[in-house]
Amino acid sequence: MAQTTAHRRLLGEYKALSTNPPEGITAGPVSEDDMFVWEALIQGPEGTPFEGGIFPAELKFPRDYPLAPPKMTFLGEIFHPNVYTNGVVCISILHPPGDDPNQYEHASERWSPIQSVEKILISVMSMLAEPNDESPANIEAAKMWRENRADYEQRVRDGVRRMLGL
Amino acid sequence: MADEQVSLTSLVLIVVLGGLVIRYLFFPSSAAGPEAYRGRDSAASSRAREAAVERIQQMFPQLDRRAILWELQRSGGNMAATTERILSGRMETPPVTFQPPPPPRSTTPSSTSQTAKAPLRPAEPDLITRYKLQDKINYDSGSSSSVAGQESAVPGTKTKAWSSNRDERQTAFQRRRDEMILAARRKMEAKIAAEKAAASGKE
Amino acid sequence: MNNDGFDSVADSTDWLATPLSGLSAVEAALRCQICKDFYRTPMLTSCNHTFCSLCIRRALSADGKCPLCRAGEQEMKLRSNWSMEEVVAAFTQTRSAVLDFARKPPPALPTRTDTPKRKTDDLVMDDGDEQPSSSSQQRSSKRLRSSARLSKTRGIETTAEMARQEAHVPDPEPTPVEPDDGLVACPICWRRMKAVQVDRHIDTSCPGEPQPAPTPPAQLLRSSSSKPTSLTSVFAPSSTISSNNKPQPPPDRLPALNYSMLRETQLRKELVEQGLSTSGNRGMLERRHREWVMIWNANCDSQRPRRRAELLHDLDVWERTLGSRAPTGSRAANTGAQIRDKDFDGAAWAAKHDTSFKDLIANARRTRAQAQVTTPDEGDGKESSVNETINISDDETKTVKPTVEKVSDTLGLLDTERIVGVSVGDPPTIIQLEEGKESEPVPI
Repeated sequence: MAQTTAHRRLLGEYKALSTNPPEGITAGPVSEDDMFVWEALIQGPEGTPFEGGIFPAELKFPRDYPLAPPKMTFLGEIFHPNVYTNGVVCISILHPPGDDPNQYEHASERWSPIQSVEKILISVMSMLAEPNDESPANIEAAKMWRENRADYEQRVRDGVRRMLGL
Repeated sequence: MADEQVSLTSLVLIVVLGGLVIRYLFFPSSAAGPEAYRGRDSAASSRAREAAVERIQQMFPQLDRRAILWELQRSGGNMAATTERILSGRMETPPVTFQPPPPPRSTTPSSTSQTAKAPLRPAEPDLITRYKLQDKINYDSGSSSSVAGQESAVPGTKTKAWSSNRDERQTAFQRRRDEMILAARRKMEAKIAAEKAAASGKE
Repeated sequence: MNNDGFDSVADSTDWLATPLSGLSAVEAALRCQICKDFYRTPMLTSCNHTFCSLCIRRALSADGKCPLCRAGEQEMKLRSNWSMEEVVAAFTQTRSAVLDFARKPPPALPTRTDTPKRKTDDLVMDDGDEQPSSSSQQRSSKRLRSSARLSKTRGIETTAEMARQEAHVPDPEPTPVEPDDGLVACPICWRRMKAVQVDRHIDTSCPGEPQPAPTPPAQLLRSSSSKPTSLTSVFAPSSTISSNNKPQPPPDRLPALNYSMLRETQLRKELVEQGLSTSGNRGMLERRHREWVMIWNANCDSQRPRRRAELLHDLDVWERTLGSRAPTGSRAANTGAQIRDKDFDGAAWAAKHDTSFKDLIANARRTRAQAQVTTPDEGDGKESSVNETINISDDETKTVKPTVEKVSDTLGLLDTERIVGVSVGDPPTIIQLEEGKESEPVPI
């Protein structure tokens, strides 16, 4: 019974994601020896240049989860205004309410213990569809997205195919 | 309890004196009050504000910057009054419209910006290499019937996605993961083939 | 760790695959949004949201806002939500039985649609030839009745066995009946439950002493035959237990401490008084004390407070996962996500106060430099303006000197010993060392 709140909750979320997975999302711990490191696959939302792509990401949970949010990193190349070139995802739901490096986000959009892995991944999916122009993490991508949408979409599509080994 | 009271009074004293020091240091000629805080010299006032925020944050690490700035603004930049109010629990939540001035970039702890500075990782291999799916690709492209068979098996696996055995769970998770990748790849292959066909048709 | 209650990872999605998928929403509503477990000692916030006592206390200590609506909230304002606790207790007790029932393939019998209870009773009556009990006696034992309902789908042989057990029920001097319903008795309070639930039950809801009341078929029978309303009391055995236990006075709450005003020795004394470990640095002491206060106060909210030893066990679990004995490797990997987490570790504190202390040194240098400006040699033509500042500066230097020391003293309280040693120990030295080099005010 030496399970902590974090451990129990992650296990519960794992189960819920396995039995009732949301469309286009697969997520679970890399190994159950360490419930605090997960990997997730996100399908590119349809009707966007990311359509048809599969994007792997790693989620690292703090020991005091769910008080603090996990950290999410895309594991492959992904060209998106809100993803740093090293793969770190910059999205308001992953920022604790006290921490607002960009001053743009409303507190209501940020992390709260009631959020969950599923909600994070769904938010990231919608972020792929609609980049947040206000707080770019990848300046080049943001600039291209704003000024040269066709090139941006082509580059994203190429990345999607490379990712699938085609 | 006696000790605690002593430290309370001394703390208040220190805070008051600290506030005086800051005021004397940065606004030697202007009168006390909100005007002094807002100051004509924006650089100096922002320095003073940052110093005040920093100090209050040291005293009350549970408060966020925005709340402190709001309290400071409410009390006209008076650190002592702000501290008193926080201690007595009379804090207010800042309104949504309140836009705190951004922290000076140079003094923010590196942790907030470390994500940006993290070194570029070497290019990741594609998904097929990463999850060692080469064999399965060949198998799938070899016979389309097996593809159909696999796809029809997916709903069946979904129903027993959760097992009480952790090894089974792990395998089930890996299978779902691999299937998701392979299905996407098959779709993409079909799409590329269709595009090629369309292109050659045009020509 | 292989089988540490993975079966107990019950959640609301269990219902989705059954015909009773609507119960998924019911169960979700009975679970805390923070830990996603069933409410344990639910507390109502002033914004009318409910969370487990410990969950909301932890969340408030980290953020000070309701996790659902982000309205400001204080621990003091939390109120117990005992009705919710009773609902949860009643639901969790029937949950596994209902789930088992729902998971069985629908029986071929056409009796299912109309008044299944009545039919079930009739069925048992029919099957058990030696059934001597009246229907009111059957109704008196909920557990056996629900098992009987299940038995309908299990098959004739189990039905017959259930009937045999039913036959035992009205026995006025019940020998320890061990119904073969897959349940085991809690070793402490003798309540019967599924084997996997025992651990959790002992940890959470066990009243801590043998309860003669919970499973006394005879006593319940007597009352049930006289009062028709006793049906409800049978359905809520937990509330009867709690009322038995109520005379016990609730333990006193611990006040929250303002750690920034406490000296380390005082904090250590406080921990010793609570019988807690005093290992680790100051940050660790604060966090340990905070966690203990939360565990303790959450326990005070409970209708059935647990014993101190159990609380200490909880703290021990915390110590191993988040406290001084926490695995350090993954902690380092996770710091990125904890930028503004309240539980800074020592290094973060040190780094932070390092800069602020540099500020103080710079302040001290500055005043020193200003004091030098007041010396007549440097007057060259600006006598009047300089003289104006002299008054201020003189006052300033008098007040500033002790202030700097005092402020750094308070910082030292929050800080690691190392910095205290440098700062409080010999501030004059620093200033003197720099005296020669510093001729201009140092920009901060």
